Amino acid sequence: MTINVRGYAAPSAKAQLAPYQFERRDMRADDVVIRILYCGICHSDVHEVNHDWDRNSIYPMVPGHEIIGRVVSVGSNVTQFKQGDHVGIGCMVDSCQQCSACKQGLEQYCEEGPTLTYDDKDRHDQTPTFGGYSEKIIVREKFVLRVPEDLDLKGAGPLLCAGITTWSPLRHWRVREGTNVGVIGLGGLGHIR
Amino acid sequence: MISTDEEQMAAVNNKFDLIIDTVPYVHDLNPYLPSLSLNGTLVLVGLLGNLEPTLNTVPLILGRKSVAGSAIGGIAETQELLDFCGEHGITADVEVIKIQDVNEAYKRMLKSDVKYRFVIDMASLNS
Repeated sequence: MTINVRGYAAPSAKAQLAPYQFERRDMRADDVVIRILYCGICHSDVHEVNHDWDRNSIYPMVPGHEIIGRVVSVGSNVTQFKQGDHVGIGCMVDSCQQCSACKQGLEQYCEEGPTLTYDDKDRHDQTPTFGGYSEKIIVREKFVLRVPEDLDLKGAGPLLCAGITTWSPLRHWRVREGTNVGVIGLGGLGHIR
Repeated sequence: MISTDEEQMAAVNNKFDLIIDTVPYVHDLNPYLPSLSLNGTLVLVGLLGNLEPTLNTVPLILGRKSVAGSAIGGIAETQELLDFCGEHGITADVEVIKIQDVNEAYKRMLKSDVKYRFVIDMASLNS
């Protein structure tokens, strides 16, 4: 059974976003249903809406991948989350889970490509993925993030894309006390550093 | 510091072990290479496509420098970041908007008129 939700979508490339009603995909045993409280706006949302990248984009497109919400219900196999938990969803909602990158916890480099939170196709039922500019989202447990208590919910969403995009290279290139780091661009990503 | 200021750029010659380049549009990387130290890396996180103007590779060779890319982060490291931010109370500087104002927000973001990230309050869907 699907859930009907309200959101905002771009009906076609470069179009203005407007109210849009759509069906979320069927819930599965490892899914978490989340009521969305806040969603950050990423510059990638603009690129995607405008079809700036070489992708087979799907319209109407509901952008949004800096999602903060509250768990509404969980599937029968879910163990890490319960109703009422504050959670986050970033840029990915699934991956192959078998390749070397996925096994290292680097799902963004999945050899088959991760399933993006929006403008992509669900790996199991091929339905389009719709993002966080909407009232609810359904995501498999493995791709749901726990939001620490006391973290300000309004400001936490951008950590899930802007934040992690700048954090990941700091970790990979082993930045520590004494390393000199420069940041080009003091906008949505640069300011968090 | 302002990268178009030659004096300021000269002052950071050979300084940075790592530069994270967050600029979302194609731009000239050449002026930044001298500010990388020996073995330094400039990491691109924006999906720019082909660089223009072309990159002069001589500074890379003469300083064993690198230009690299990086994409978001995995689930485990994103959780690690959230936990770190929870411990230290770190969040983004945001401007909260109603979803009805999203198109205006896009225009303002493209003009860099936001400190520093828009966040949609989804309760506004009910308005």
